[in-house]
Amino acid sequence: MVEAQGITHRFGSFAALTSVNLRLQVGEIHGLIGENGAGKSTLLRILSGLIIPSEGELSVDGVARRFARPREASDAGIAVVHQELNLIPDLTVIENISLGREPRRAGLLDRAAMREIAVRALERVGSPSDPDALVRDLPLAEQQLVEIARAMSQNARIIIFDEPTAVLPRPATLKLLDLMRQLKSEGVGIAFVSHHLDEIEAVCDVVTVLRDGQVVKEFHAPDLAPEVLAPAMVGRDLEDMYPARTEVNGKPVAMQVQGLSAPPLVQGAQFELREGEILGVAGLVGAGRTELLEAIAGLRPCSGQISLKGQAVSGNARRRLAQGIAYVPEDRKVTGLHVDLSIEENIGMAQLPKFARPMLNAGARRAATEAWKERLDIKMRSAEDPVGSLSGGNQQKVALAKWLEGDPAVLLLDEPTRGVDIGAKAEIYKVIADLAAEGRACVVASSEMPELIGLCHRILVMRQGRIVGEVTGTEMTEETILNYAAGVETGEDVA
Amino acid sequence: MKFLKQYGVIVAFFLLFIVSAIMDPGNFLRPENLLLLVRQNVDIGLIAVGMTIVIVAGGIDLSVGALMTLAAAVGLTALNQQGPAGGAAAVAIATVVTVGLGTVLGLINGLLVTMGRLAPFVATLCGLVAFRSLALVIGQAGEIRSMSPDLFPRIANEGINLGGNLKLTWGMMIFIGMAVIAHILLERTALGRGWVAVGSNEKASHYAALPVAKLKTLSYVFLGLCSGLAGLIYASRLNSVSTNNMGTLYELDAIAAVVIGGASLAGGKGKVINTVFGVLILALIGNMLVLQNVDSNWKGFVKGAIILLAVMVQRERKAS
Repeated sequence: MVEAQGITHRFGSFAALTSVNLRLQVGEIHGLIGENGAGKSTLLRILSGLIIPSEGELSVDGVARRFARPREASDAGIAVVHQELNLIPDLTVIENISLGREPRRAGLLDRAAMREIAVRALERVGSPSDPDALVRDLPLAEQQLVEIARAMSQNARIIIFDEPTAVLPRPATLKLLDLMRQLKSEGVGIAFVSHHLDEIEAVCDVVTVLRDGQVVKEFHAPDLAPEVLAPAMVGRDLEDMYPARTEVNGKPVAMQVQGLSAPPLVQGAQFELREGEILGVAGLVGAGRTELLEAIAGLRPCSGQISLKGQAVSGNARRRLAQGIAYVPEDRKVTGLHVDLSIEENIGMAQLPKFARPMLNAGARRAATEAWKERLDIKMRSAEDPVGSLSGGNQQKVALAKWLEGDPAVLLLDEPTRGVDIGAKAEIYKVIADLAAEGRACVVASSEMPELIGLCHRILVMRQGRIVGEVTGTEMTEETILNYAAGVETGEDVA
Repeated sequence: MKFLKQYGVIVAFFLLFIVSAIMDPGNFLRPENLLLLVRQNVDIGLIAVGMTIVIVAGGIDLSVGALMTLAAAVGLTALNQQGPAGGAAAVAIATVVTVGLGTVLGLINGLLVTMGRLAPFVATLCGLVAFRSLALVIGQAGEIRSMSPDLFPRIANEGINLGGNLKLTWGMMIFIGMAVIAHILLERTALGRGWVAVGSNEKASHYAALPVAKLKTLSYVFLGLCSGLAGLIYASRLNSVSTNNMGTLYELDAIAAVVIGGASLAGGKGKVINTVFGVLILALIGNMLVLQNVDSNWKGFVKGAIILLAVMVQRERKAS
């Protein structure tokens, strides 16, 4: 059992955590939820020995402990499965599992013993991976199992899962939740951080809600419905998550896509988009959602025709952006933003010629930044702060501002609320609806079906690179979409 | 505090300057000595200014020392082909050839990195050995002497008289001019902000529809131009090109100056003015050791220690 008592942690004058108490028991799944910035990561980092709290005590099995480094926490039986996995891609599964604790014989690696440890651990977590495969070559879900296997091989009694499902496709998520239940029945204690409240409800015994660095409430099963948890997280009743849809029938066509192919992941895509319409793109992982949007934006080679208000669109991403097609990528840290650069620099980034012709007009860029701050309610201290210092939701707003600065007619949004907490999600939905109401056409690709159903006028479903279905109105249910996505209603065999 | 974070190297320079002045006020503070200090480092300075741009844009260039030698060797050969009496026209041809070839070689580096998809380290390592080899072939592994006895040396040795025997040479003015141009390009133009963006995160720059390959290529072209000018001034100062030892290890000195100036070798961060002070710090140390009669074999050791110190100080500040 791990217990944290009266934990307070300050960064400078800012208190990230204030008198937090937490008890993680073996044989129990303990949910940890809160909006971004609520202090979850700080708490996890304290538990895993990455930072030493300013005040407060940690104890393991009743003995007070002080972890000066991660190794001490893991020796005490606490393991962490990070969202960004901590594996070495160029080592094999076996080598990763024993990393840092390799058994030796006569000073040299004992390969046989390493293999035995790995095979046993992989078996325990039900991993199908080849122990000799390089981690780089494994799909993400399998990499995660390797990380869990590593924790098991270290005899961890408490495993902390930091948003493990954020990057997983649905079937892998369900499997992971099953594994968590299994580990629990084997007497392992689990701390589970997730933005997905349905997952929290499905597996947790206890849920601790953090807000502004404090524990606001603890909930116990079976009272863990998302409707109960969400208001505690946000601190107010959520109005309707999704804004009302505007009428788009009879509006002029904004964009027409014909026979668009970008092999192998986009084949013969065909659809129309009206002004003011929000069109969803659903599909399982690997169905080609991102690739479809990137092809339209000119970010990958493709064939076929795209027209914007009757005008043919062609050329590279720069030309298409200038013509009015903007693509906001899904991964803010890698593709969407320059996280080390300032907020204002990012907001000007997709429109450099506009703010620098040829000399940079810093005043105009600052004014634009301030205008977006007002308009999108971006919470920031200074326009000169690096964008990476903002919370996920605010980063997403900066990304939106960056591409809206060019005043695009069509906005292609890829996973616009990934890694964003529930309060900020509602705000982003409102922004998207407002943009549509101004007459912009939006395409939203998402792996979260409730989001598509709540937000969109119409949803295209992709499977293996093709648009296999279109649902609208009352047809927009998770079941219908999943049937198309998995190929059930098209009568094809799932080969 | 913010000033110190951004311009700590300037503070460090003035501290070193004061130390030097205290240790040997008689010689060090003489205006002739101070001007000489700049004049002798104009070539390294020019290359370091260009190197700042390449490093900020996420690249590196190891070929610069060999590149400037090759450019100058071809330039002097062109000069000498005009015959011993070749006057202003010959010098103009030599200048255009040297600077132009430097720029073209920079373009080749840039294209190898972008279109050739080679790691900058590898592409320019090939340049380092290949350009040197071509220079040795041209100069038959020896010296190429200029046949312009008077006019060509003026570029590095003559200039505006400041009174006494103090001179602001054309070479120094070219260096200052290029530093100012590089600073303005980097801080105040779309090109410069593009360089920072690409160096900071190439993928995100691609998604922001920046012309990534063009930006990277242009950074090497600019460095090629700077290196060509450095070659011209070097050759003019000695009125000859020694193909086997001109510019050797210049790439490392230039990179050292950029690093002392606080730029990140990972790209996306760096200031031209800080690099200029990085060059001056290296120059100052050399000067101080000479004035103190320290065995010149110690120079490299002191340089290494200074680079290490600069990097460690800057890292600590980042952590706090």
